[in-house]
Amino acid sequence: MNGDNHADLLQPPSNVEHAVSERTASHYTPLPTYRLPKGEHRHYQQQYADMYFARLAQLKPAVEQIASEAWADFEIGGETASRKDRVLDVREGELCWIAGTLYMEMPLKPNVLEDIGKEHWIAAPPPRVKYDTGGGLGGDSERGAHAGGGKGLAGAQIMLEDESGRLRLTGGYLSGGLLVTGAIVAVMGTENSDGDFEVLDLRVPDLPRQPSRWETEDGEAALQGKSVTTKRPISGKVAIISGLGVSGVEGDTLLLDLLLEYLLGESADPASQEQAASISRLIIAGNSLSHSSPIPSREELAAAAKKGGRKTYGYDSASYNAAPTDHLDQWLATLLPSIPITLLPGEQDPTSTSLPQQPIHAAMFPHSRAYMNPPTGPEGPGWFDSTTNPAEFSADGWRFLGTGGQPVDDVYKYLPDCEERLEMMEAMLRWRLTAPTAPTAPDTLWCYPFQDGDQFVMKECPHVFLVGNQPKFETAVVEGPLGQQVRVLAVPRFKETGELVLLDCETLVPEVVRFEVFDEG
Amino acid sequence: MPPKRKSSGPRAVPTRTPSNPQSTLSFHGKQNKVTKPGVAPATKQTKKDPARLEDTARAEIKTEATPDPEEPTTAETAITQQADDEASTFALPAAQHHPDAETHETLGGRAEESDVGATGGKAATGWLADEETRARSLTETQIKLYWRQKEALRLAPRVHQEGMTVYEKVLREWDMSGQFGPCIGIARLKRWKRANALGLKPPVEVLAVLLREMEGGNGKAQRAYVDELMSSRFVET
Repeated sequence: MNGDNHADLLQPPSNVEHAVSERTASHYTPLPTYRLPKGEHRHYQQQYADMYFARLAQLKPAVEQIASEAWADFEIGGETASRKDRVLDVREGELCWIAGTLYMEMPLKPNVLEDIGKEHWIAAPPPRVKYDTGGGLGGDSERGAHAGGGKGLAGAQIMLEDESGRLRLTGGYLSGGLLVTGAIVAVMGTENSDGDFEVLDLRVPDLPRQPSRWETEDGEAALQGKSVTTKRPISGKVAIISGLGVSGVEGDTLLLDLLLEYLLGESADPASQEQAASISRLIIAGNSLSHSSPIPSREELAAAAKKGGRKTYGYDSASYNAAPTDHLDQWLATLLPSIPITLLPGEQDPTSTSLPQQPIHAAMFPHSRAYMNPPTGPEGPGWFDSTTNPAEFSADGWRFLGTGGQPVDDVYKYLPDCEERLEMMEAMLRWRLTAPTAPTAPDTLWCYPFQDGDQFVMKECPHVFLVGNQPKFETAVVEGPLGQQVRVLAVPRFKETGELVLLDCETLVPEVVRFEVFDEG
Repeated sequence: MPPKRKSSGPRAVPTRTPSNPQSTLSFHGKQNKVTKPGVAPATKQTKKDPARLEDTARAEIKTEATPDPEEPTTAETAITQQADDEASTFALPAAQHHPDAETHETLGGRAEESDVGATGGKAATGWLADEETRARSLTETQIKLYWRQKEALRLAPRVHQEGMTVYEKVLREWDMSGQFGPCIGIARLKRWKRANALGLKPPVEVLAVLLREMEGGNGKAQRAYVDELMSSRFVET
């Protein structure tokens, strides 16, 4: 009959070779900087004073060097600034400079003793967005508090602290800069008749030394006796995403599926697929699950208390919902055969709540587990790296420092006027206190009581500092005094914005891919 | 049908009988209760109105804890574990005065060799240079000289320290030196190493005293005296 027409339908397999793009390989070296010892070797007996002491001892030399260079030939009224060893050594009327830790006393900051007292009497107030009340800087005369109608730090006291004691700081200079509890600074000024220190100038430790590209890999190869390869292949791009917010309840599957298809190269035209093939690694920076934190929020506690007087310890089979973890696991397991993934936990993920958050356990990922290294095997970068928050690793030679956003969010609460998160990230880099001890830890940010002093300060400047769970995408390059250049990235929440950040590993320039779902009506 | 097992009703302890050489598990009985006593829902018996004086008076509320004095507290175990960890980083084995002992099994296993190797120094052991050898080479006279120099700085002699040996006095002075950090919650040896790593130049004589105390088997010397005072679980009324 119509044999010719049917000839196209029934055909033997063709020999036409279709071009299959291959994904660029990723060079990855995770650094175990923020892994805590396991089990009985992890102690909680020590107090947080050790942390402040070690932080000051490590950063004091650096900040003093910068301060002495800056103020060596500073003169006011024929008087040069002299250096004082201890904070309490300042004398009235004498121009001097000192280094110490900043401490901000803000009336609305969460205070443990007040919380315990209030717990029995009033319902807890809703968490504050910012810790200030508005009004002038307290510490100035009463004129400041009443007359200043603008925003500011009313009732807040800023102090400089070291082993010897505390000194109250005043002066108009302070309202300009970013000041947060826990930052190590050097201040120059003089003591006035009230006993307060009037600040004329302020210096921070600034960025530390930055390693060159591929330094980690070359160093390791040299240690193992292998020859150092000088020729490195061209690197691809790194995809960074944050705030997937898988809840298992809402209809969040469509955006995730779109992302999945894009990364696997299943969707779009061959040109976009080529672009997707150059993505060598996916970094998920926190909050993959929507509300799986082990500590229930105040609302959940109130709801549970209302439900019935019976307290259930541990796992309540009636209320635990395994759907979110299952969904996330399936999603990861679909991606993993094609692309290596680094997973950082966030504030709402099922892992420890105090920084540094330990890796999400392999038991949560029964399917993706196949791509992880066995815990008793040789330590090596697994294809699927469930890592700590914050995490330091070397991808394609560049040193990355990633956090899930908690340090920056906490610093944000301290600054009354500032909405610029990039400024805060830059300040954190210059204070050398990025993670896990953001400057505000352990004051308002929960933190493990470190005793050794190793993980407190940033020893080496990263090339890329990425922070997840931010409200919108922002990026900048921070430059240091020795020529360091850090690419700072604020990664937005995927659930709200649908944005994926692609960072080109040859030029360190980011670009954004946006996924949108059209709403009906 | 499986063979019928001989069962003598609920028994609290699995017993070994000749007909039943295997010990069995018992999941019931008061001794094998899994739930915590506090979790049980309020039954009619426990509805005591605290406003009623008789109920409150009858209820026996223990007001004092009765801890077991022999059991070490968690703070003590943490400090001893820190001290052990630091002791294992010594390059020289502590029992050096028997070089020709072949199969001499020392008590409990002494400090093991630290594998300095390619990544030695700070990364592996925490020692920066040769502090350990220098500390071990100090003699008792040198330590006493150090202490005399320290006492000479004061105008008046120390009181309430008559019954203490020089070693104890040196260690207490070490605790109270605030420039090396807080002394509570950390073993003295670990504090010395931390101060050394931070470049604060702690006196090597203190390290010598600590090493001698460790060799002497005095584990209590690792914990600061104020630490014991501040975290005492027996509050005297």
